[in-house]
Amino acid sequence: MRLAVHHVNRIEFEADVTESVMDVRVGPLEDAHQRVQRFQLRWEPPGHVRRYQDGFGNAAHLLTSARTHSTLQVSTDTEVETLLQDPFAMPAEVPRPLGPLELADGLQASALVPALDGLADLAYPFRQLEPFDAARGMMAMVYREFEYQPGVTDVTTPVAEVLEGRRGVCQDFAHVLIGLCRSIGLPARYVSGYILTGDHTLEPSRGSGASHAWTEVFTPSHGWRGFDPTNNLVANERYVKIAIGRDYHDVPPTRGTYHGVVVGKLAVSVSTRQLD
Amino acid sequence: MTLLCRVAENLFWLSRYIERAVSIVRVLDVTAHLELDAGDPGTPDVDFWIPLLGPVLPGVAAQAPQPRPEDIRYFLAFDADNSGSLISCLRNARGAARRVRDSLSSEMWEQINVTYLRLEEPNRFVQLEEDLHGFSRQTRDSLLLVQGLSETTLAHDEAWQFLSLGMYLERTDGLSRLLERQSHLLTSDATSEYGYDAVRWLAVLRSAGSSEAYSRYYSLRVQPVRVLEFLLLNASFPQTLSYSVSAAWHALEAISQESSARSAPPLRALVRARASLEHASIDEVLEMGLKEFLHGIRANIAEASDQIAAAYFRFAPEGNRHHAVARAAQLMAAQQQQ
Repeated sequence: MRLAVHHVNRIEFEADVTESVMDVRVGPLEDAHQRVQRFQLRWEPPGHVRRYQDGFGNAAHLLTSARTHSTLQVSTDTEVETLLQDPFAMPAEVPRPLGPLELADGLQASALVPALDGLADLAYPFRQLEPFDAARGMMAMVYREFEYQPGVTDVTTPVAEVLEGRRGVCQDFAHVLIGLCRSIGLPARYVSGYILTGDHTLEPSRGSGASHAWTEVFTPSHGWRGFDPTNNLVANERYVKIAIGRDYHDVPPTRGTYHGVVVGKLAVSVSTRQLD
Repeated sequence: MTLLCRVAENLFWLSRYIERAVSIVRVLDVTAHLELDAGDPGTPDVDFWIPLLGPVLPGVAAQAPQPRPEDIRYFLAFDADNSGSLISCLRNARGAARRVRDSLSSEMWEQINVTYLRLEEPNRFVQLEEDLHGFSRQTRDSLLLVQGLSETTLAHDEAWQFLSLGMYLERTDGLSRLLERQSHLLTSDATSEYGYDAVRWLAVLRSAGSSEAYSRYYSLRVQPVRVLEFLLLNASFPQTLSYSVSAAWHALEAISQESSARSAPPLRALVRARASLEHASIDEVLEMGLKEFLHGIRANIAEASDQIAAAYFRFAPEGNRHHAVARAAQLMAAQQQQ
């Protein structure tokens, strides 16, 4: 399936600021299930841009601008072809087992997903299942037991609080599912990306207005597969991957600093459509 | 191209520290030779070294009532507590270079690093004591290579102009200090051509790396007035005050074409210094008093440095000047994924 995504991040400051430095991860990832066909990054005010690859292999850009400015905008146009029509099908070749570094990243507690007793208790019943089924089961549980409610959590809300309140948005759910998987020994990681929503049961319905997030779990049978607890779906060709990391902290779409005494307001818009 | 003020500031200081290190090494070498040339049993060795400490006698001098020459050499070269020592200058230069590593060429960064690491080797001070000339020569060459690499391996853009500005301002400052230290020689009987003072004035020339160039202009007769004339007013040799001030002015001019409004105050201060050097004759300077003349130049340079810092290193956005500018960078709002 060919997908086009238009993603705009705009920060409006109350007054002029200077020396903005912005680290963005909005470039699409290229892997076995996703081919990049077009990628264009635009930014304002004019400044210097440096493209680099971070430690997880994500395409990242460092944007710096010394000029005085009061708005800052980074927008992307991305076209990818996604190839994973049936995520349940076993891959043709047996997946290569993970190396020690990948295992460490996938299994160890990370900054935003600490090892919590509450997570271990929730995951306990799934420990005997086949890994792929366990991951699906836990995804369905998060979908069932947690309420999707934008606005009650923010970007800094810890997992423990989400676990307590049982509500949040995709970022929180992805973190919860990562913690559940890790507690029973399934390597899991955070995926930042976009989705194409639809009406069919196998099409995601939530999380289209902003960048989306879900969890990837490594199973010996299928290799890395995406599990989206927000929509209770195994990630298929309607999912566009942007970046992977241990948790949100590794892959925020934008982060940065500036000099000035004012506060900036961030507005994000994402639109995804199917090509052809 | 625009430049972050952090980058500009680090480049500026990087090259000031390198230039300062060069002059320390030269002075060490020259003083050791002076001791050999002019010393006699009647003159204690420290007489040559004490003046190098300048007006204040911190560190060694404060501790020992009569510091030994090696104490002074240690203080000037390796005393980490002395912020003006060779090792401190290089540590600061390297620190600044690291912070702007991406604005430098690999060659230049490596050369700064190597120069610093060589000084950090154990027993370096023993080596200096054993072979001061060899040590000075090696260190000086190593530092000059840094300056040469900045000339040849970097684009001569706005960032480079800050390197150039720093180097020439520091040279102006160092040279005027050197001359001020030696101005007392003028009041003594300075007529003898091959006498004691001639040797001292030759040392002054060599401290400024200018003895050979001087001899091209004035033959080998080292006359105090001619030495001063050369070091103050010669417009074509790069180690003179006149040349350094106008080179600093050119660098600032090039920078100001990118950012006009901000550069007016520092440019003015440099123009004043430049004018007083370009239109002076050595007789006028001596009549006015060398000390006073140098004092005026130094004041202009200090003013220019302050203005440069205010205009480029602590830049407040226009239209926002009534606020105190937050020095620390603020975090941008993070976006939640939904």
